[in-house]
Amino acid sequence: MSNKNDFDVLKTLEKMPKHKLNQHRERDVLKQLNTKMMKVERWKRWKNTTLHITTIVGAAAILFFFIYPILTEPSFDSSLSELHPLEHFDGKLTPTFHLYDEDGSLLFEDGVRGIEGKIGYRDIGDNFVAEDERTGGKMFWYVWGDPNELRGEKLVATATHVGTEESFLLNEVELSLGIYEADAHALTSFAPFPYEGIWKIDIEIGTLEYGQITIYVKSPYPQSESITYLISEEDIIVGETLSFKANINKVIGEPSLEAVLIENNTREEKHITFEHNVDFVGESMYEADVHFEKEGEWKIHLLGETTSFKVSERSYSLD
Amino acid sequence: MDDKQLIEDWFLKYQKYITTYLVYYTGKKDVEDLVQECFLKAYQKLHLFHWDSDPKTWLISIARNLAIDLSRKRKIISFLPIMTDHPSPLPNTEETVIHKDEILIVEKAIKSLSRTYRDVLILKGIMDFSSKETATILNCSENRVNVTFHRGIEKLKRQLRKDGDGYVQQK
Repeated sequence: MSNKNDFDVLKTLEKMPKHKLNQHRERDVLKQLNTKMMKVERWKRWKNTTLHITTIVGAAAILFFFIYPILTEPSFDSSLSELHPLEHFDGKLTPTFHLYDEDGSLLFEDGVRGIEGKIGYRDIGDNFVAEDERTGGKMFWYVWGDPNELRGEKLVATATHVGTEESFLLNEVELSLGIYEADAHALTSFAPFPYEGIWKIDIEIGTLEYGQITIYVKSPYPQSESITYLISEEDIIVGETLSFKANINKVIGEPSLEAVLIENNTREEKHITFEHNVDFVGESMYEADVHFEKEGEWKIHLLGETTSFKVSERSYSLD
Repeated sequence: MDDKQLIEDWFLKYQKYITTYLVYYTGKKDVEDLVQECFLKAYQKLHLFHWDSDPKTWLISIARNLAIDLSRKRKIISFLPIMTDHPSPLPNTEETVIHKDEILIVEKAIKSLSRTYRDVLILKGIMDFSSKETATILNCSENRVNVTFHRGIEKLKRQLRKDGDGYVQQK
């Protein structure tokens, strides 16, 4: 092989084996794909319905806020709404624990969030972000118990928002064989959380209530029609150099893009340059470092689109 | 035919291309999870598909981005094995006249090349895609594909010389 010429190498490449899923796996993957596509469809319908309801409720709420102060003395404690949700939350968020391999060696330090020895999901350190599919895109459940009883059982996770008590089906999946030290596992995707705040996830396996995990979901990413800035609005804070990643729903093909940031009140302007990071299918990612010296409402203009966001002092640390 | 039926149809027609590409690109045989994700992504992004273009090249560019995304995630969390809901058998490998040792050496050599060369060698060299199709997938010009392919072959030869000496001596 060491003396091959171009022709030989080309011939070798041509002869390299081609791969495909066998019939059995093809059928299984197609079945799973079908189930996931139906979930996507259901989620789209739910989102549209919610949008309509939100619009009606929103209009009613605006009307109420105008009329209510006229009718009665205000009794609403406005300072409470300024607090971070975690500051007026009585309970505790569910902590993480280590995951060990079968031989007892440490695999993922603080890598699973849940109830140790019972149930948890793989946590890579990023919070969930409201309305975002990416953060719950590839999730592992790990379950401890009787492996024979767990295998093939259905795990159903329902998320309930602390405050509004609104709930939705976060995930439904069949458990598979044990992995590492866990007695069963499942690889799945979580449906996106509709909004930020504290959410309690109730997990049922078969007919058993298996546990509850309490988590915090960050506020959504600022976005315009085709651009999403991959930084939760609550992480846009004063005094730190922030990495703004602009995920654009089209391929741009430019090495860099100029953007203007404008503060709403003072009209202060900042000019920043987004450098090309990577292209996805029909999408491009650009990145820029941004620094804010004071709080305020800002707008960013990029590629003819305007996105509003708020810059605030860090009110609460999740660390 | 609704969107779901269309994706099912594409899956049956094109899964072999996606599987082959992912096996060589990731250097792993267990890729069915990524194959599934590729078609699900296609379903979610179907509104972005240009109907005058070839679904095969569009699907491969989705698969490529998923693989890049996965390798980036792996860098962050050190290693996250792809698990499936069942123990996963390897994908079928079509009959080939090439010697098993030689396959391993070539696979290893391809894996050691940078992403740019690896892409073009897999698409044009192994999967026999035209320069035009390869350029569409990689979102670059045909000229660039041809130049990169030529350089890629040179690099592959060099790598095979390095990796393959033992193999040649055994032969």
